[in-house]
Amino acid sequence: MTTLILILGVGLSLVGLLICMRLWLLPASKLNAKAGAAGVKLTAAVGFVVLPLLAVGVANYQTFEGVKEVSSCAGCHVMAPMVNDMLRKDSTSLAARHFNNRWIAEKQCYNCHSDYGLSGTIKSKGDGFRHLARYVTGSYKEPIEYHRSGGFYDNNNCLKCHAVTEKFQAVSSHGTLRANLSSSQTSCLNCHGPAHPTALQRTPGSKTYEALTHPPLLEASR
Amino acid sequence: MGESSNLDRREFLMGLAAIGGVGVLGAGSWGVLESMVPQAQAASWHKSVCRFCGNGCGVMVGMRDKKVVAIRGDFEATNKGFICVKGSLLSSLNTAGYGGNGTGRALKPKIRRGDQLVEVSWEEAMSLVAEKFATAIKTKGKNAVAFYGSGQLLTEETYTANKLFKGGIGTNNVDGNPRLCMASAAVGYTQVFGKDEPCGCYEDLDKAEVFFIIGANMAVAHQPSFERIKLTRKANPNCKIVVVDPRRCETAEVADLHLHIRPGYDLMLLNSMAYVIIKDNLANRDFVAKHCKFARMLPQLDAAGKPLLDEKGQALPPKEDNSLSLEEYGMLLEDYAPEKVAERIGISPHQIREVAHLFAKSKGTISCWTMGINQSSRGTASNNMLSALHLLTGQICKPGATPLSMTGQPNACGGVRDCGALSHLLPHGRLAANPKHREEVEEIWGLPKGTIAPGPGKHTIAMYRAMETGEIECLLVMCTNPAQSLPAGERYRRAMEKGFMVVAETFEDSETAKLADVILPAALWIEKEGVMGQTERRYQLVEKLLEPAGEARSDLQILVDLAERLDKAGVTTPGIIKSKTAREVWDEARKMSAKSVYNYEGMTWERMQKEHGIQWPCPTESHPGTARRYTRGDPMMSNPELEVEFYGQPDKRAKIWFRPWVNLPQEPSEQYPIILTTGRILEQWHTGTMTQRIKELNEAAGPATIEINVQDAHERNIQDGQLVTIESQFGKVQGKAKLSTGPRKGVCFAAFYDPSVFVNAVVSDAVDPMSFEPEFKVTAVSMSPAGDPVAPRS
Amino acid sequence: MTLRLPALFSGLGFLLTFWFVFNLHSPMALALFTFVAQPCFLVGFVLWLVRVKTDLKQKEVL
Repeated sequence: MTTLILILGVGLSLVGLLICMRLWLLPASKLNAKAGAAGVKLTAAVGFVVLPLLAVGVANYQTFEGVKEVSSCAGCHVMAPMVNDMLRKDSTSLAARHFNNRWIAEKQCYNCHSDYGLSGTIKSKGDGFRHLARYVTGSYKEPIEYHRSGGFYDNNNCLKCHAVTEKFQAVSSHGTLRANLSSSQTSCLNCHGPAHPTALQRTPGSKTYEALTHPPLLEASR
Repeated sequence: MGESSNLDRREFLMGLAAIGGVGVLGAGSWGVLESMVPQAQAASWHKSVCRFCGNGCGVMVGMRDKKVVAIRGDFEATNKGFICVKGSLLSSLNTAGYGGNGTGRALKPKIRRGDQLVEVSWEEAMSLVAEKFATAIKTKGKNAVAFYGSGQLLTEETYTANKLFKGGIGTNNVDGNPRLCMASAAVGYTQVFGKDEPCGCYEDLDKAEVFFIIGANMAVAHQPSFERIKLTRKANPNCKIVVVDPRRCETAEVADLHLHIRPGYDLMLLNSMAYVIIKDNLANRDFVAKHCKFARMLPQLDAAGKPLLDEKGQALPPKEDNSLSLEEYGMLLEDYAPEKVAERIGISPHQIREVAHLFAKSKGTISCWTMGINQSSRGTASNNMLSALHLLTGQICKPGATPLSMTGQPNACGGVRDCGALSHLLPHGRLAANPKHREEVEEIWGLPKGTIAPGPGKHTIAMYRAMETGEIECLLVMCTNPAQSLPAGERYRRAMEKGFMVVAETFEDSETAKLADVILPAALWIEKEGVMGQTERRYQLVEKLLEPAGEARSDLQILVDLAERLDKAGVTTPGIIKSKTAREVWDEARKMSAKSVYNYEGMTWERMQKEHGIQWPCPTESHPGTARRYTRGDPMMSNPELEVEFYGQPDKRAKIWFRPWVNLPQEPSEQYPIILTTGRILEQWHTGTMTQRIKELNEAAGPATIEINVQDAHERNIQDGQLVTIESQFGKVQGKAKLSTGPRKGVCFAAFYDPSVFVNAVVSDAVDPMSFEPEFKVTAVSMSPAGDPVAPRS
Repeated sequence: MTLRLPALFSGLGFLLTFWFVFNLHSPMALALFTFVAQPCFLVGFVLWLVRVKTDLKQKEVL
């Protein structure tokens, strides 16, 4: 499927580019001439409406699906500590345990952050684009954190898998905190510990930062 | 031409506009996305410490509009972000009340007039308190007054109270609820290592291979640490969790091995394990030879074997003997061979041998214990033996290997134990009975020689008995609820009614406040600032984030006020309390600590604000703190090159004690055939003064029940949910039965959080002969359906 | 009036889209596609509409 999308995307872009080049070179006289006017209009419609719509549609489909992969998250250097930690077999973070025990078989980041990714609700998709803009413009500070910059981790990312299980329902504290957990006022991480390396561990210059951003692991994830 | 250049210019301008359009669309959409960010849970987050147990978890307090709106674990603190359900609901603590609107909070001082407690001003209340205390001191002497403090007071408050009473008034009648909690551990460590406090740390939980959890329901009482233990086990297939408990409790449910022993027989088990370790050649002889010596108490006898007498004709007390070799020590344990004791303990010889081998042979063994060991008439001895097992096997002073007593209260270590606020102690590892120690403290505090009373004051049970007889007339109780937490509770409630009792308390409807002559409203948790020290010698700062409710003041302010008034009345050393703010007291205490091995001088207030807890010893500002004591890296070692040095003992050798079994004061009898043991549940803490007011915790816990073994219930025709009467020689209580296979046959269990099920009325007030800690865990009781005594089926 | 402007912007859009589909994991490519290419297509489309409107006005249709 990815290959098909790639071929379509490349094809549409190339054709669109060619049409734009053709239209660029078209002199005004030809544009105003009666003969061939219909052909010009059709070419223009294709080049400025149809092909852009198709190309954007195809590329965004890639975006919706492609960004669910771990390798896509790993593309941003600021994610290196999270991804590298997740891949380590001896890490006890929630991400590492879910990944290494295959509790989530694929698209591990997306599964727990599906309200964040570049798919999901409009709001969460918007947040994903916002992070992207911040990242490429360098307008962020490491370590990145939830609670200082606004927003919060939605417990429903955990509850959507866990809440239906008998094991979950057997834990009395889940009942005690039902309302707090649903609203995310109490975080699942309160009892279950950090999901990723802590802010201090992800602070540039700290002892662990170098180890966590070491390239080879990140490369291996791709 | 002109037209095309016009068009070109027009196109150029349109092009510029288009570029601008792209820019606006791009940047503008980014701007819209920024505005769509949902509001964070809180406007600001503040580092703090959980108010509840001695696990001492760092928490992040989320605030908005001067209210607490959310709680998170502090990922940078020692607990690594793990907290429990109680900690998660700290957000409700400062506004909690039975009515959900803060009712129950003490908002104004109150004085008893007849049967009523009436609101008065602070001036009137404190005048009365000072007058009563001064009169008692002047007419009956210094020991007519006493202070009963708490492992929940901040360090600065406990330090000030201790200084005021011991150094100012000159009475050692200073004790506190850690006497009911960690006294056996404190005395136990001191007897073995020369100084109190564990040598290990929470990091050892990540590295151990065998967890020996005895007398501790960690899954419920220290849940964040237990989560850590479970993670260690998940990561290491060789890791084993062994639980020793008379109940198949929540911790035992997930253990690899559960020893379902009889309550109070821990010492017998530990002695038997020591026997196996020596007999089966599992001892680390090299370690023992280099770093330990053996100790036992021998009666002082003449040649004929009769007790030696003093000038009053009393037998001289036993004397310590250190002459034993490892072999001789082993021979003393012959009576504890598994085959000889297993049945009495309630398990099989095979299990004892299995556990002893696991303990000795693992790559790292950590023992964790709490009240099951401490709250026993054999508590100190059991503490000695737990350390002994680690010393015998060399499972100590290395990562993952250590004895680690889990503390019950958030500041029993930092406040009461380390600042010496028990009746036999002085600050930072000193003893009131030691003249050299008294002189040192007098010098540091600038007191005339002889100010500090020689010898110990009244420990808790003795203190309340002295109120009963009138020997103690005035008592200041701070931050604790003895009317619900003391054993043989009814007796001591009557004693409290006799004397003049001043209660500084957050909630005016606690069982103790109800008996008070004066109630002083006290600030709660983040309504005041100060330091707390938890299980692993880690000190953490609680910063003030809220204004106290009503007219409540911090306990420190109350003590400083009292000190000034007693000074004016001429009953204390003049100007005894010079430090009047938390910061000033902290600086005074840490500078004083530099003259001891509990050195935390390096923990400046600024560091405490910035860092997420520091472990002592921490002698300088640049020192990071000390994870493990008595081993390389501990700055208190005389020789930093040594691998191990037990510097708390004069000869640098830890003592492996021989502690013979002595029968328990309470054993099943025909009249009282069941053993009652008490403890906690996950959702409630201690006497429930705080946790009962938090709606979710209150609903989750419900009223306290009496957990009864199904066989015992069957014999007595008791149904699940039926009201039953539990009775002992000390009192009786009624509660709903909860049938279970958890407790052994012949054992029942009740938690003590519910004032309507006053289980401590039934509990024995027998105490450990060395630590004077009461035996909450073993009381012989009878059990019957309420109002209808049924003889047990024969 | 020519179609150079709309062709320029749409062409830029196609160029960035082309680069993006070959570099799915590059955050820069994704950002340029999202925040530059798509607005370029939109602007190219609008510019073309303006051209069409001008054209129709000239022919006195509008």
